[in-house]
Amino acid sequence: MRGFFAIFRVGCRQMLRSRFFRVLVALLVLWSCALPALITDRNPGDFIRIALLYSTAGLNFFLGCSAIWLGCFAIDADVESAHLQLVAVKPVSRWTIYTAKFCAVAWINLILLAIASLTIFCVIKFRFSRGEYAAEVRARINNEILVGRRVYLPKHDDYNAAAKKIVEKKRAAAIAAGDAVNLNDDVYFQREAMQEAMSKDAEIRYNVLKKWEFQNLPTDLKGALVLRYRTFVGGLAGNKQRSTRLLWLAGLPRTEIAGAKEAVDFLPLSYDPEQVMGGVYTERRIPAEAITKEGTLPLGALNLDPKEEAIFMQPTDSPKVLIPVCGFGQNFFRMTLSSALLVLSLAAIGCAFASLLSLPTAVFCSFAYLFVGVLSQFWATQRSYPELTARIGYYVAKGVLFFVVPLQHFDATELVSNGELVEFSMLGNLFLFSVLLRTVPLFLLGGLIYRNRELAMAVRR
Amino acid sequence: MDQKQTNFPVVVVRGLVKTFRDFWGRARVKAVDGIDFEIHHGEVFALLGPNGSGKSTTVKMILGLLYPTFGDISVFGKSPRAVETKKEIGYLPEETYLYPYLTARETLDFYGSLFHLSAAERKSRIDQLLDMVGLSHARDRRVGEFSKGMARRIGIAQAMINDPDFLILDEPTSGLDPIGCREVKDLILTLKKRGKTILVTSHLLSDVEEVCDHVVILYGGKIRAQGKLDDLLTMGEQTRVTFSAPDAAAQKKFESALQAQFPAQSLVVDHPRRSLEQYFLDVVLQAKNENVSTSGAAAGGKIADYLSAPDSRDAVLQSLMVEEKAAPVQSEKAVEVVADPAKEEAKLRALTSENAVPEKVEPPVAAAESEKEKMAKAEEKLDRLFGGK
Repeated sequence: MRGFFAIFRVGCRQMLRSRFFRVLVALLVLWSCALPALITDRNPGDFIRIALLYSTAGLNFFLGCSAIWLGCFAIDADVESAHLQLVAVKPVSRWTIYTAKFCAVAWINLILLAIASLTIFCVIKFRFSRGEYAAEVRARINNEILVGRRVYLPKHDDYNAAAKKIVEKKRAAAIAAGDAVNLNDDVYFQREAMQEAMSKDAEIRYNVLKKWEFQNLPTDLKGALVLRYRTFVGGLAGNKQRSTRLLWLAGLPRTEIAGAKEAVDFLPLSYDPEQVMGGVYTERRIPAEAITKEGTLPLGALNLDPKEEAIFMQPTDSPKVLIPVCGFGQNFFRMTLSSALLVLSLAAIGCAFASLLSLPTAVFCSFAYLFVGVLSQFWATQRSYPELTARIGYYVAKGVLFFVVPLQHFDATELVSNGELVEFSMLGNLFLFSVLLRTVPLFLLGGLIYRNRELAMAVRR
Repeated sequence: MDQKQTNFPVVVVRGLVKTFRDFWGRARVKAVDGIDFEIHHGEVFALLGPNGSGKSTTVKMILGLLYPTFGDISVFGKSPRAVETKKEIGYLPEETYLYPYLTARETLDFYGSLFHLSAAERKSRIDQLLDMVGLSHARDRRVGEFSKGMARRIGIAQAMINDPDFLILDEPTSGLDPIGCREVKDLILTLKKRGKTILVTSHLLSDVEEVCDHVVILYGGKIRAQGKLDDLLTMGEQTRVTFSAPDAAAQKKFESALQAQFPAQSLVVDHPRRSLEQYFLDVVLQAKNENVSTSGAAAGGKIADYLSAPDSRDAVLQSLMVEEKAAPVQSEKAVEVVADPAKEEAKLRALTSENAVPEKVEPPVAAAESEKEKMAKAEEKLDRLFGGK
């Protein structure tokens, strides 16, 4: 291990000496100290949320770039400068050189991550503790942001099945009307139908009770759980948003009412409907007693809009039930773990590409690889592609995701800034699927290339 | 018995071809074209040739940095890429590639660590090596601030850190001042005396001539000539007589006698010249005696103890050799044998005749003795010159 540690130490010094590293440190200091200290907002909750989101997302961005660049630099710089010719003729295997350099990159970035994360955490806590907030506001921030809450989403409709039904209905109507239905019309129908099905699931029509069911909730919960949602009035356009009214109801099992038509009976959670602003997240507390013995929570919402317009909730984020599980510190630490996995993964990707390519080419290829991953993830999570070409793209994206790391999976900053729990299961999945199954094979492939490549092809000056 | 201590070749190169290809795999340059040679244990072997003749490519293939297109290379009987092989190799590249932010001491410590030397061993060797290459005073200076010659000296030191059995020196005297060149040559001779195997590539033929046993001359990637240096360079058809300057009358008498003896031969009479290197060393010695200071690399000290001390692996062999009582007597006789004109003439005829198979010349003990004497004198002179430090 002497050789390993010698290369590791020299690798660290090599990176600390690079100009890139100095610029990176300056940016990190600016980002982790100055940004959370300077951001202000009239709404204290928003200030904390924005400061958290921007500073942690920025930290991930800078460290991600740094991990890629330094990964490529560590492996390639010695080849380019021919230093490696002196190292590779010593009794250390190429694997040792490769892994020691990767470890040096990972170590430097992890140290930076730890320092910057701790700084952000301390600055935000300091500003929150020194802020002149009313006790009620302070309690709200503590309950909504500076906390780690487990998220439960309701069961949604099967959009494909719903869209299929709509298509059949439209086709029948078109045939009945004597219109010719060709393949292009079919595609058009399918696209329309999917949008209609999704829109239908998101829509809460005026004075019609919209129901959701949350499952697998803890049955022994004490205190209250939190309902978080965001409404849009008349459509999703931001400039159309205005105040509206909504009455929330909780479903109680009707087990003791003989001959009841429905399994549950919905009772309002308040006497008066809630006044909510369109496009803004709202939270309300629901007593834990509303959870059934089976761990389900039926909820209903009645649209009481003054202008009798439909209101919408995006199924991806509304409504959701949140249950506090841990404090802010622990949740922040979990987010830092996900950032650490990101840094490790990107450093390994950088090293892998640099095992064969020159520095600029390796950096370009690493970013291209990540871009393909992001795009594939986006493409593969879309709900419907009626056109053939789009459907081919969908399957290609699915295939690409077998071996490309999608960066979105590493992002836990939004969860933390919303007070949502960064689940260990998420970290476990990240480690297993993104790091072990996708990054490690690429890293090993890079090591194999590095082991077998010629290291003195050209002498550069 | 360890194969390093037998006559088993340290390096075997058979049918070696190296073709450099472009991105599309098309052959662009054939740098090495079917060469064969062997480097034997304890030999100082030189690869010579003009620029682009394939010397460095061959060296890099022996080191496992480049891979042959065709042919085989074995180093200590193993693949040059095997990690175990590299334990016994020291390498000084043509350009000294050093991390500029490391100090001289850290640089040697780094390379020592790669050989898994303990901290104490590294410290001891680093002190000796820095002393040997004359950089003790710059031990804590970053090598990025070093002159080319100083960097070269650190390069030499790193190549010696593991006390290698096989040393590869690519242009070892490049960038060195004459003192450094002399020290490198002395180092090579010392290591040779210890039974180390050395491969040298150089453009400076005088350096090679002084230290090498065996030479290969490459041109266009092919071997144009190879053999023992003495065999290649000795001009058997001429004879030189050297003696202390006589007075003019005595010289005239001697010339007349020679002219009478060899009437048909042209006779050249002149004064022998000392080499420029020798003259330079004398001037520097004088400057040193006058305490003139210098800010660059100091003259190197004595060769590191661990490099000049007898190899423990050779101890048994050496003890056996010492016990041979007849050796000194044989050496005296050998002088006479070598000086025997009849045998010399026979050897000359054998070498100059067409299709002659060179007679396998046993290394004369007298020559070995003479070489030992020369070495002892050289070391004594160096000690005197550089104050033993």
